[in-house]
Amino acid sequence: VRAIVPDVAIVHALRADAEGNCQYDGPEAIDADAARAARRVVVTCEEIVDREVIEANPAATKIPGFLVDAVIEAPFGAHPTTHVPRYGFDAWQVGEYAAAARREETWAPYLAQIAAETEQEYRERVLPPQRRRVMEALALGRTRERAAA
Amino acid sequence: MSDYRIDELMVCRIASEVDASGVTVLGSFTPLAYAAYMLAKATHARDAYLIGFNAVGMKALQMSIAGVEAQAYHGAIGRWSFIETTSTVHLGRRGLVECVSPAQVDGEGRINTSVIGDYEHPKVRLPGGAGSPEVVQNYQKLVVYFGGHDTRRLVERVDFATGGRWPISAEAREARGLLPGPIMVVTPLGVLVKDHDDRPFRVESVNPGVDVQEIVDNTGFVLEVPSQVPTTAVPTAKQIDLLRTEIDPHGTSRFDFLDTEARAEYLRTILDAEWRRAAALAEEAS
Repeated sequence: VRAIVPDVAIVHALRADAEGNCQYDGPEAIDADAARAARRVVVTCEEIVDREVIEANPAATKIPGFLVDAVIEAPFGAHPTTHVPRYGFDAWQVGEYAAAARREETWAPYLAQIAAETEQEYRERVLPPQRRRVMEALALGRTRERAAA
Repeated sequence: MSDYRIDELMVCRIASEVDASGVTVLGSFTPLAYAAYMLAKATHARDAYLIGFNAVGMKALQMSIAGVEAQAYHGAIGRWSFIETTSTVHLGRRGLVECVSPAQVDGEGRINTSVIGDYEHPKVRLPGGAGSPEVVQNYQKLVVYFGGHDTRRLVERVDFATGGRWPISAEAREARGLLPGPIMVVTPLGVLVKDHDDRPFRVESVNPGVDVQEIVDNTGFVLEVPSQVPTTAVPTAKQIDLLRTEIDPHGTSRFDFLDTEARAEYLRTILDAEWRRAAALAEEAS
């Protein structure tokens, strides 16, 4: 089997500096492998930080900057999927997406709305402060029901 | 113990396959299998290594939809990428128990999660294989489970072989560098096992109240029926208590037994409870 060489890999990191040195704490899945394999690499990240922040914890760096072509700061950039430890799975929003995707007449407007708005507009529309806090609480790992008394 | 649901009996039967001799990786979200791994980890297999998401050596988590990944993350002893897990466990002869819940299984142990009907013009397009071909072949023990037992699911030959296990006999597997171990089919009626290429699945046990003939009549492939077939072990009171209070209070292991509409409704119920819990946590934090 020949190796896959993607034209571009778009990955989402927990944090990165301006050079594209990317750190993960939770699941990195295939991000680092995709970045090594691809011709071009675009990084989105929860926050862009100073290089000193990266240097303070080098073991968390999974993608070095020399692999990276572009860095974009995009908080909640993985939403409505997860980016543990920042936020959990927005199953409710994914449910709306799945419902919209069932029929062309509901899918087209769903897609058009997302395509027309900026990341910031998306966050303001879909993630008002209270919902944002709930998504963050889902990443605490403490959402267990307590044992019945 | 008489107060148990059939999905709980299946959870306990699958849990009994998990021990500390190998590593079990949580794949695509299959609630009944997850509940079984967690029950094992919380009871007889406390030293077993589980890998969920990228959390290596995770603790037993509580079954939910939105919060499971974070639960796996908190309290694990390490993080591995997907490739590290695949190469070390799946291909590295360390995989212990793999559970799949396909649309069909056949008498040769092939599974189908791809299509019903002709591949080019399917009657139903299914989710696809994901990592199943790799794990079905490489793990020591393969457990195929179903929420029902009938000739549509247990078929003579699958419509499409998404994955298979070959060879099956222990010596032949070891000769090829594969971990030796059986294929088990766990259903609401009983347990079938195949551990030899030249012999059919045999009925290992019948669930309480089930006649072995009912299993034969509802299976689309030939079975070997021993003269004495034992009854599947029923859950203990401790197992049921743990499942209902700690591991799976929402009863997600029921999912495989519900039709599409009931499943959607049930999912909403679970998500409502998760939202309330997370919202209360958010409230505490602010």
